[in-house]
Amino acid sequence: MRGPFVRRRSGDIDVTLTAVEADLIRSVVEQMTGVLDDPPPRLLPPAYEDDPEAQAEYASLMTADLMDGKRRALASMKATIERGKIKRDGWRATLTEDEAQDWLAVVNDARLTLGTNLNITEDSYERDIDPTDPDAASHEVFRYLGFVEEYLVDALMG
Amino acid sequence: MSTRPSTIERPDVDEVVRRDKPWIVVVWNDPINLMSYVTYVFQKLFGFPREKAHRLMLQVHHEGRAIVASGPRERCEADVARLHAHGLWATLFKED
Repeated sequence: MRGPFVRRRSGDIDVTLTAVEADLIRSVVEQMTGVLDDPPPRLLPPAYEDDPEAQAEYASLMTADLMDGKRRALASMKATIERGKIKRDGWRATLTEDEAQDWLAVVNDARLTLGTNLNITEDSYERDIDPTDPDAASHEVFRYLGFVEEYLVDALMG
Repeated sequence: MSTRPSTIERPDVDEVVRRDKPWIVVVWNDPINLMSYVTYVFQKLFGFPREKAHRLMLQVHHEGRAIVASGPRERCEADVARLHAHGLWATLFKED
C-alpha cells in the first residue's frame, strides 16, 4: 500500500493527505502548540534516575534547548501546512528532508503525549478500539499518528 | 554525606580509578515509540549501519534496555540530550 509520503530522487518528500487527514494534522499541530506551553514530563525525561542533584543540573542546562527545538519543529511544520494546496487527489505539499524531520519530531511528540494520557501499553496495539470508550476518538487519532509516523520513517530511510 | 574524620589524608586511589571508568548511555523500552522510529533515530544520531541500529532496537524491545554509547560523562550527557530531543527514554550511568 502506498502511504502518504513519496520520496523524490532529489530527497524532497511529497505528502498527499485526504481533506479529513489534513484537518486532523492541522488540529494536532494546534494542540501541540498548547502542549508545549506546559510540557508533560514524558517530553522531558530525566537523564539521571538516581541522582537528583545531577538531574537538576542537567534539566537547568538542557530544558531550554530541548523546548526551543520542539517549538522550532512545530513552527516549521505549521509553515509547510500553510503552503499546502488542495488538488484533485487531496491535500498536497512538498517537504524538504529537514521539514520531513520536523514533521517526524512533532508527530512523535504528539504520540508520546497522547499515548501517555491514554495509558498505552504494548497490549493496546492488539486490541480493537471500543467505540463506547469515551476516549475512542483519541485512540483513533493515536493510531492514525502511528500510521503517519511509520510511513514517514519509511520515506526518510529511503 | 561522609562522616570520615578529615585528618586522614591518604591518596584516594579508588577515586582515581572510579574517575577513569567510562559512563554509559542506556535506552529503555517504552510502549509508545515505534520500533522503526527507534531504529531510525539510532542510525541518525550515532551513524550506525541499519543492521546494527535494528539489532539495538530489538535489544531494547526484548530485554527492556540497551547500551547505545559509552565514554566520558560530558559526551554521554550530550548523547542523552540528543536522544531526549527525539523522544527516546535514555539515562546515563557510571559503569560499575
